[in-house]
Amino acid sequence: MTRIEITEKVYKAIRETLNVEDLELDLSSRLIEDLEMDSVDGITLIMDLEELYDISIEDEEFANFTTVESIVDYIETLLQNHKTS
Amino acid sequence: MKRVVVTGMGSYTSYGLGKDLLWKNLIANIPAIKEVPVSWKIDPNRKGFYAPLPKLDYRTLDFSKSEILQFEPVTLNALLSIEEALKQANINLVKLNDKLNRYVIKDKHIDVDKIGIFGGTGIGGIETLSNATIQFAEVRSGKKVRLDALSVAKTMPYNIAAASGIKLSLHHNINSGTYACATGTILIGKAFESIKNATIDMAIICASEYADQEVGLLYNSFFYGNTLTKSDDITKANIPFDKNRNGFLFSEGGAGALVIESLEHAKKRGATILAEIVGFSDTFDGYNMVSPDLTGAYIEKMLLDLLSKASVMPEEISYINAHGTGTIKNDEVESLVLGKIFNRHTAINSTKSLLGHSISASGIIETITTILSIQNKKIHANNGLKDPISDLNFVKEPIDLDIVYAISESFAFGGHNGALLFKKFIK
Repeated sequence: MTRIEITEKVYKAIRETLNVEDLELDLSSRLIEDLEMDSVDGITLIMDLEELYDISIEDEEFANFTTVESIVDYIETLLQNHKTS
Repeated sequence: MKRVVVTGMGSYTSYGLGKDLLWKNLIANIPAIKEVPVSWKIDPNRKGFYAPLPKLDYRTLDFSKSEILQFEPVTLNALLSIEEALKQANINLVKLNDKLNRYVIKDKHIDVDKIGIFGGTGIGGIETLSNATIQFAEVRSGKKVRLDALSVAKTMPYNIAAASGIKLSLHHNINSGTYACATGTILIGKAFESIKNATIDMAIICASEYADQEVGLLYNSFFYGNTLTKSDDITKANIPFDKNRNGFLFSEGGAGALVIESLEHAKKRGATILAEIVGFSDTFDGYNMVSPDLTGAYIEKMLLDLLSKASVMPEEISYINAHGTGTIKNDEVESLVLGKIFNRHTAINSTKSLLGHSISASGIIETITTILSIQNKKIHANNGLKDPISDLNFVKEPIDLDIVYAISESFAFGGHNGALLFKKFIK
């Protein structure tokens, strides 16, 4: 999966979590400050990403997700590791 | 003292989402009844009946994934009922901002700090609690399982009032209450008194129950508590006020919501008035956790107090929407007391004869039914009634009735009794 594809999927998951179809997003969007996501939104997003990519993410990981880019980086790395392991 | 009127109503029942479906099916005398799922049955040889709730796809009903994760259906259904009630009350909602699925009430005639929320449930989100019990056991046995970080928030009965306050971005007068099967009725009464005394201008009241679990936890708990119908004949499984009744029809739940406000507040903002609430009274048996006081002393006291506070004579009551569960004791006591106070012209029915008993939501659904009866000048039948337990005017078929005053009453496990008095709105 390319980085662009991962980014698109992450955008979709965030939009569904918040129920805002036309939410403007870019890689630098900050989850808490710009998107007003709270801890419940964070858990929802994590569960959604787990389902989308068939991966397992610890709830605490949300604290490390500061921007959309940080999520994309995390998933990209995780998928790479899956491939190589 | 302020006069109090109803300006919005919303419901979710076995007939589906919306009060129009509720009324259409009640007046067409269509009973909501079905054999219970196999997974609920402890004795596979018994039939067992219940009133199922149609399943909803909450994603298509404008809830975010995050809301579906943090609210159980018991809360989501309450929010849907509130949405319908606010719409009928013509209350303007605008999105809080473009990122959150929440609203603010924007109306120059409404002071949001003088709106009260009164939300409640009988049991709350028990499915979450059941699942959490299983999850914790699995974790202890070494399995890697995602624990539900929100199980406390989803289970607590306060979730309904809190979710309503969050959804509408309110910051004052958030009230939560639970009075078992009388929850809806008592919450309306508390809201009525708060408006009457001018503590608040307007109230949004909701009560909700949801009992769909894999193993039929609530159904079986009631069944083995000897309160549910024992009949294997579907035509005799739900017959309140009949000599052959033997228990109530379990409902999978439901939700109802009302918007009520002071008359002057409703007039100021040009709202359509559906009916007036002219009285509320409640008493407590102080007798037994699961049985009514068989003398009916405190139900009688409640009804006399209700009439007296509103200066209304018993013969002025055209219609009573009874608690009418279909248990031996409830119907015996209720008919005894109604027979002492009211004459034989007062029409009586039980909405539970068609919808079963939706526990905490029953009182608010029956209030909505009572107001729809006043508006439509019709009342639905006391379905299934062949051999009445007394000579009261139980209505066996839907009838036309021009109602001026009507009562809706509820009684609860624990011994709480509540009654509301409604009046056709006359300027």
